[in-house]
Amino acid sequence: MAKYTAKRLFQLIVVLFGVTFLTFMITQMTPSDPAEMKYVSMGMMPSPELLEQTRQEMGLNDPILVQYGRWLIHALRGDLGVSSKFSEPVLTQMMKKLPYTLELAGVAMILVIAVSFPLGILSAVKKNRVADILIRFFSFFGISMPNFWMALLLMYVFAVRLKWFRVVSTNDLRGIVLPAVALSISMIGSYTRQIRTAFLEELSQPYVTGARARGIPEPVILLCHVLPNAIFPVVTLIGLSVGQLLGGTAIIETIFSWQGIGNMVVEAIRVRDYPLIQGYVIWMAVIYVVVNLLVDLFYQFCDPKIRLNQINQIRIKR
Amino acid sequence: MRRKQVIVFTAMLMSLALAGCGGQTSADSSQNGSKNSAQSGSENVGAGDSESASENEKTMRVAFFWISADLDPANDYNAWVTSRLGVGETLVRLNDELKIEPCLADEWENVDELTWRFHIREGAMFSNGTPVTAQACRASLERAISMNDRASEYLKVESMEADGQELTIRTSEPNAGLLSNLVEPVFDIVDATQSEDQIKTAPVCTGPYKIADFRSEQSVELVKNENYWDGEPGLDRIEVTQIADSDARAMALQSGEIDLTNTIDQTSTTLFENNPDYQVSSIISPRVNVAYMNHAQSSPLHDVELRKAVSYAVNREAYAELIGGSPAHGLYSDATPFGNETIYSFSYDKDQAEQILDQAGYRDVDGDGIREMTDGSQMTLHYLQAADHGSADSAILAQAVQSDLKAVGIDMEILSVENLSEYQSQGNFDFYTGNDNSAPTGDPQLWLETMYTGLGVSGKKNLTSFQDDKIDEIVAQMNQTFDQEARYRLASEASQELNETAANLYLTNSYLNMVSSARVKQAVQPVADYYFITKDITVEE
Repeated sequence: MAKYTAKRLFQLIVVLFGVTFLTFMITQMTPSDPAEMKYVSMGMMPSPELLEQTRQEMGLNDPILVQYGRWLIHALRGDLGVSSKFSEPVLTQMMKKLPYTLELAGVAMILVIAVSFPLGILSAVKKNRVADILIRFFSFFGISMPNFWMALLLMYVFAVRLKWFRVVSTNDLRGIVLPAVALSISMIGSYTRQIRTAFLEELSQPYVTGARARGIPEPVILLCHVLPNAIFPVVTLIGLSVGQLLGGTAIIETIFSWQGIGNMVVEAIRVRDYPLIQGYVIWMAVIYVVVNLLVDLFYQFCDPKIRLNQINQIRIKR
Repeated sequence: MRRKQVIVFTAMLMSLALAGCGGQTSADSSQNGSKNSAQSGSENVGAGDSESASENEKTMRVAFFWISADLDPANDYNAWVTSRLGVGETLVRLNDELKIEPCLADEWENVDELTWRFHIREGAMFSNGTPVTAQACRASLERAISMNDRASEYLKVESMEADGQELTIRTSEPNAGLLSNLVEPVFDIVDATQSEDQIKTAPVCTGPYKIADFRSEQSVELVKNENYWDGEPGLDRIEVTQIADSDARAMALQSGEIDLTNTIDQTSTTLFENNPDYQVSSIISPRVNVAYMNHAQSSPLHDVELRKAVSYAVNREAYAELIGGSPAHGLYSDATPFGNETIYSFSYDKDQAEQILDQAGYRDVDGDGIREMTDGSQMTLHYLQAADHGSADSAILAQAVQSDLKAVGIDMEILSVENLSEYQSQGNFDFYTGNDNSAPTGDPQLWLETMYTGLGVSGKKNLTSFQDDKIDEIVAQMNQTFDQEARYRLASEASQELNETAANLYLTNSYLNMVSSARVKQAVQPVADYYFITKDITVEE
């Protein structure tokens, strides 16, 4: 297991190289000029001489591989450069925004799990009964609602009408509820459906019939026998969602005045703030690789089928 | 065994969640270290909490659509924020007729073409009690010029001299726009003896309010400036929060979390109009919604006849009803004193449009209801639309123009783009959308020069390949014309010329609005959109 983890972490390095290199190339291919965007974003109209000077200063006149190499050497020393938009080191800027994104993503994910598991299980157990139909209807509804619309609706009902929460999100439990709910509703919809499907599949398995025949109480069958088996496809989904949430959510952040990383990166892309975009890309790559690793480790740890497969493979190799 | 696995899984989830919370805590504590008051400040924003501060203290909560990353007025457009906050003030300012008024300078004189002399008001003080002398103004202006290209271009300063309260500015070339340009908030007078870090977070200026606390792009806490030179400010404390989304601002007002905000979309202002709990102050602003037309050879709109036909085909009155505002008459908004009433402008005339098209040879040859080019080839006009200042108006206008053009048989495609400037610089368009301030400093020259000439560095924004000798001539004359009224006359000549050549589609003059709860008094939307909080605004319970 330790060897496996080490191998995966080594892969992370390769992924980081690849991803940062590709992003570097792609951003270079876009037609606008970062030197010009730097001034335009400040509302200035630079003269050609000033532009040339700035390009020189920003090192934009060097061949692209030289530029990437220079960036890489600095990055390896822990220096991700200075954001041209915020005139601040990229790391400082990201560290300012990340806590907000982590907090929002964490709360949203807890909500998703806390709500969708009971609903999904209930829906599977009461298949084609009123509860199931209602849950399916609402999960469809949740999936189909665009989250910005949901956000405005929630804001109107709970902040304007009922005054339970605030329109301007504050950085406390009360402030995070609305943005987290707005983010999680569509996810709850899809998770509920996923869990329902997984449960239905397991419920038709012979071991369930066997357990029932042995007179084991239904709740015990559901929670101790079916749930551990049904959980695996959902865990993969959770891994993907966590990555998505940690990447920030610009629309929700704008509506709720939440200072997360989503808005920051949209702005960075708009003004071609290369160092900040690169910083963000590293963050995303790390997240996806780490989360996927955790998911895989979870499988390794919990699912004997996968463990057995690997042992077999090793045997075959020998 | 399985139960154990579930427990492990749950533990993993919890640790994930805790990781989220953990990161938060550390950031919070680091912020607490430097900004202790910030936390309590932001907590005060809650509904109904305002009374708790003190029985007699007059407080107000305001939402801005933008708070800058730092508050140094010389940096970027930050000064628009400090000016809106009622913190920064300039030597002269604009009144609601867009004419120059004394502010920190109470008298001025244009000694000769290259020399301007300003008398700095006696008794004016920075919020820290330091007197505002000519030397202090000079230091602040020099700082702005050295840090901001916009500033150096606006003034064209050769040298400055300070003697007591007398400030003399010499320009390197005749700069008739200097006085007007000095109203630009980038020339906010700041106490330049502060450290650079202080200026970034709490610049000491001369306005009715001073900064008590600042959180980058989030909130500002203002307190009354006890040393204000122009009477007592109406409030003791103001909490300003950034809410970027227009609907969220409207809802924050409805929920009672804020007392005052501005730039609410026209569709939402109906919620507050004729409602005794709120007041709406709206004015025609210097901003004009324009569909710029490409004059380059590559665009069909190179042909003046086609431009004229298009100009007759659009129903400006209907657009103004649709998005709020008034129909535009030309380059400059009707809010400006630049003689719009004297010029001839286009009005909706579908028949006239069709007649021009027929005569110019844009006919429907293949009978599909769409007109072709004069040589019989397909004609589709491309309209670049980008959301401007977070409003939906530009999209609504684009569709309205599209349907009006279709009515006269012209095919138009709308391309919604995020990065307008990329397309602009490639010249790959026939129309592009703009919501532009036609008189950013109350003077007509700046905008005309920027958008319609290839002169100077400013000409860089002329992206439509527009060229007109008469306009170049007018701009050259403006450089030499120091009399205000004469400049206005030149401006109306320019407007007339642009309408005669159907240079662009000037669609509507937009509204600017300020919406407040009933307890707020004297909240009046100023015409220049870099003013907002004034000394007069107060609250009554």
